[in-house]
Amino acid sequence: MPRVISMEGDLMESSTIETNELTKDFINKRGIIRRESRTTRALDQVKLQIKEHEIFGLIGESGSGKTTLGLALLKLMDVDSGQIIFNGNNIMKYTGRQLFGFREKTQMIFQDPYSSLNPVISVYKSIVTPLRVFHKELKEEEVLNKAIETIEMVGLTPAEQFLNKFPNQLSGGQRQRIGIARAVINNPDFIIADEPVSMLDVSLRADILNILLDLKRKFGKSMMFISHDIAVTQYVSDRIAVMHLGQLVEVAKSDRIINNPMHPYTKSLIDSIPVPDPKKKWNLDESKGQISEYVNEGKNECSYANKCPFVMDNCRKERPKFREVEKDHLVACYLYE
Amino acid sequence: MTTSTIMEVVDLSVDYVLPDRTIKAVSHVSLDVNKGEVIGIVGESGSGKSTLAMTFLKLLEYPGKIKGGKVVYYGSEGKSDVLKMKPSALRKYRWKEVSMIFQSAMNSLNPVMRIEDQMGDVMVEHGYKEDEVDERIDYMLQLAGLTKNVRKSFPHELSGGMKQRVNIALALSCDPKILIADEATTALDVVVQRQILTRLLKLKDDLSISLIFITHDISLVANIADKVNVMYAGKIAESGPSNEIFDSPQHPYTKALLASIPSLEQEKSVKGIRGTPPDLSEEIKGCPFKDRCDSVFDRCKNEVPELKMVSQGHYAACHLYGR
Amino acid sequence: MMSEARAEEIQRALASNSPMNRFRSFMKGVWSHKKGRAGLIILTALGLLAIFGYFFAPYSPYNTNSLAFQPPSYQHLLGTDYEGADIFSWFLIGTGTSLVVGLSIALLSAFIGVLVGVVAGYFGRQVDDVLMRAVDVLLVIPGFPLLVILSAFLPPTLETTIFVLSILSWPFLARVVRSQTLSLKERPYIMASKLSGLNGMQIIIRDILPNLLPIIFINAIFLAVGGVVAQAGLAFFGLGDLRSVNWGTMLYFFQAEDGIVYRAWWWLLPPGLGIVILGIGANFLSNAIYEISKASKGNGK
Ligand SMILES: Nc1ncnc2c1ncn2[C@@H]1O[C@H](COP(=O)(O)OP(=O)(O)OP(=O)(O)O)[C@@H](O)[C@H]1O
Ligand SMILES: Nc1ncnc2c1ncn2[C@@H]1O[C@H](COP(=O)(O)OP(=O)(O)OP(=O)(O)O)[C@@H](O)[C@H]1O
Ligand code: SF4
Ligand SMILES: [Mg+2]
Ligand SMILES: [Mg+2]
Repeated sequence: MPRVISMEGDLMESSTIETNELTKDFINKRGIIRRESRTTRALDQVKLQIKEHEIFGLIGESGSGKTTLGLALLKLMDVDSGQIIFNGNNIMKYTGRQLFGFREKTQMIFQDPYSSLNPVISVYKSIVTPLRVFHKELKEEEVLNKAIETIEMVGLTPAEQFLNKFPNQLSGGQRQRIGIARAVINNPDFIIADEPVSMLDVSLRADILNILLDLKRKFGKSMMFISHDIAVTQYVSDRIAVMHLGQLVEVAKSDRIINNPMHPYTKSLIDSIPVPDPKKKWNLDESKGQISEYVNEGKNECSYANKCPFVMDNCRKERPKFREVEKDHLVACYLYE
Repeated sequence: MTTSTIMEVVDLSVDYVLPDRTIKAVSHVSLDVNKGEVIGIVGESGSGKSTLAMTFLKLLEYPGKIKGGKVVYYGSEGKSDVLKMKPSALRKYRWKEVSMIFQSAMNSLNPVMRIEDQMGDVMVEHGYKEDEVDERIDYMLQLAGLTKNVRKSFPHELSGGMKQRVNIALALSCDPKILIADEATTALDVVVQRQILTRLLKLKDDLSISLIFITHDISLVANIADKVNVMYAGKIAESGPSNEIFDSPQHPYTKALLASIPSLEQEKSVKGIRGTPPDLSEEIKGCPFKDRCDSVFDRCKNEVPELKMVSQGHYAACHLYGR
Repeated sequence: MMSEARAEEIQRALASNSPMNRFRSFMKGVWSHKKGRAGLIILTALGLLAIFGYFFAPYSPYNTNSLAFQPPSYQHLLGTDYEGADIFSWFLIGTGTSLVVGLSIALLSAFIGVLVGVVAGYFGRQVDDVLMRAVDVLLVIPGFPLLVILSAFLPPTLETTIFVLSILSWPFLARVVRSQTLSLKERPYIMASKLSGLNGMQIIIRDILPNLLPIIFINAIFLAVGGVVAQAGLAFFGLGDLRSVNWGTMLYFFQAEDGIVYRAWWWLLPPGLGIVILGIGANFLSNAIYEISKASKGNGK
């Protein structure tokens, strides 16, 4: 990719993947006689840009659309409107050969390590498939060596103990690492990691996070890192985006999100981060942080308006647009207009 | 055992017998669960935590074999060995006495049934009347931090964290005496997680149910558990009151585990524990942690360390302690 | 680089996963299952009877030199029929024919049903619409009258019976396979396969069909039993090839030639019991397969 020189003349990093106003509605029909349908807007005009050599963190409450965004970016799920640009090309209409070429460069670590491994396919077969398909030139022995190397890299040693296992013979954390091995074996340019370390204990987790970081540092890959664990996200990510009911509400450098959160939702999120020090007790107080009762039904308003302590008339009239409040710090909130 | 003991696990060992090798997933584990107590089980991936929990419900499936030991449950009708229960007794015992949120929660709902039907079926099967079921479903969902909206959903229409919460609701739906949660909050953000935990702890206080938390989330365990068991390679490496385990960890594995917790303030470098866990299909000579331990000495190489008391109620399986 | 010993170990580990080995270990699983073993024994016994029965038949089924309607005796273990033919010989030979008919129907309709079901389910949209419309039409046509009409117009051979019955049975399987496929294709592991660059057909073969095998197998067993019964039923009403020796023609002649008047229970019992035992064996085996395949999907860990 050629570097793009921006208007100001300084070197602007080019982006790996970019989206424009991505929107996705799920319409659930209930009842056979009295047909009612409910719309959930899982992605609401999502606009983002993930740069080359960047790990882009995505945080947000459960059900806010993080997984949906990941699936949409990799064309595993159709969207209703918007655009996805990968390496400068609009991939929305890709099929056949073009899609195949796109697949070769992207991978995903799925959130649920149970449903993302086929119960009838052995560990070996499942992780070497990307190699077999995209690198037909590799000899059987090379494939095997690469598989062993990757399995041991994710901490499953000795590899021969795991090659011929089936998923139901693995523990949760072992499955999760097989999922990671499958995603990195082919050396893709862009990986979406959806809660990739949720079932790993802290010691192993550190190793896996370092492997992901190496992909960026040593091989210049980019990644979208989805997690509900803010400490972990901060550790790996260059920038973090915060999602709320399908809308991106804030994007900034990791440390700025943590140290200077601006959007009211981000603030409440950062406030409730547990102290990672096991000796410090949490404040187990029911009033602190309420579970969201709302869904985004596709109204043109700020997704946080129903819960925001600062809500104004404007917030319900039109959804706020991203504004660069400080350098590289985007916030979508009328408080910063 | 004390009068308030509700479950007692004695010298339990579980193997997975494969054609070419046998994996010793759990070896000689003993532990007590008291009424109204929160027990944490932590340990490395693959150390046998889930296998252990499955045997509490006699859910172990082929090729898992119980090699020895007992799981004694002290129910309202006296004590009984769970591992010897007949299918009819087991049906009553599971869900109603002891229930479990499985680690595979996101994948364990029936894909072609609506959430309300799945929950209703479980309740009706355990003796709840049709007319109370409806209200209970709402109540349980709300307890697990979900709204009524999910009642009519199919599992694939829910996000990962929502599916986990449905499982929490399901596990609570028959008022169990013991609730086992196997990595039940892996997809929940801190706000939701904390809210659910608060409610669970309140339930525990009100109904004196016991909670067994299997998790890698050390700060969660530190905050809510009364006792903690640290598992390593199928054995209990250290066990004791939660504050002691975290204030003065004894076993080198526990120390290393606590040292690898990342924090927000910390500079950008977190290290794991060097090396890898031992192969459970081979005879382990000496201490299972010896290859990764910083304090290893001669004795560790040949002699298996037994669990020894280091202080009142606090045990560690390490040659550094006890004689 | 790997040491020799390790490389060998790894090769061994990979080889242990060959389809042959997996089939063997699956059969071992069935054998160690109580009902599975019973089912296997019953069906194997019937199978052996079907294959070798011909050689043990003491008489030709067309040999009518004995007295008619004799009850069982040493000469005629299961007595004789209205022409004096040996019923034991009829049964030995007829079992083979009946089972071959059943198996053919199962194979043919399973092939069509699986193909249609999986393609409709996976590719969806227009493909699905067209295929399922065809299935619906076949399902609403009342089966028996169609059978009667078709059998009346086509030459009365066993092949016709097999063909007609297969045409009528595959839509059921197609339905089952389609709905299973619909639910399987939403699983994240299918998405993972898409990311690995596999195309639709490859995903069907690699990811979907193996997961459907137990269901296909169970349905095929019942299609076979159904085939045997349906063929017998057709024959009972005088449709199909009446010169062929099978359970169905035995039943036909029993009712057509006043077996009931002569209280010739020995004539009714062999084909009737044969069908019942076949049904029981199939039931046992399919139960076992269902339970085993459910267990191998993994428990909650
Ligand atoms: N196939 C579907 N049909 C209908 N609704 C869906 C579907 N998939 C997702 N949704 C809805 O879209 C919203 C976003 O779901 P998504 O899985 O993207 O959340 P998430 O941010 O990944 O949450 P979590 O952290 O719990 O995994 C949820 O409200 C969910 O119920
Ligand atoms: N069905 C099985 N067949 C063979 N081996 C198995 C089977 N189930 C589990 N194992 C092995 O037994 C060991 C213990 O597994 P278990 O699931 O109990 O671990 P765990 O402590 O729950 O790990 P995690 O934290 O990763 O979930 C693992 O090494 C695993 O590979
Ligand atoms: S027994 Fe020895 S090897 Fe094991 S943990 Fe203690 S010091 Fe380390
Ligand atoms: Mg998700
Ligand atoms: Mg586990």
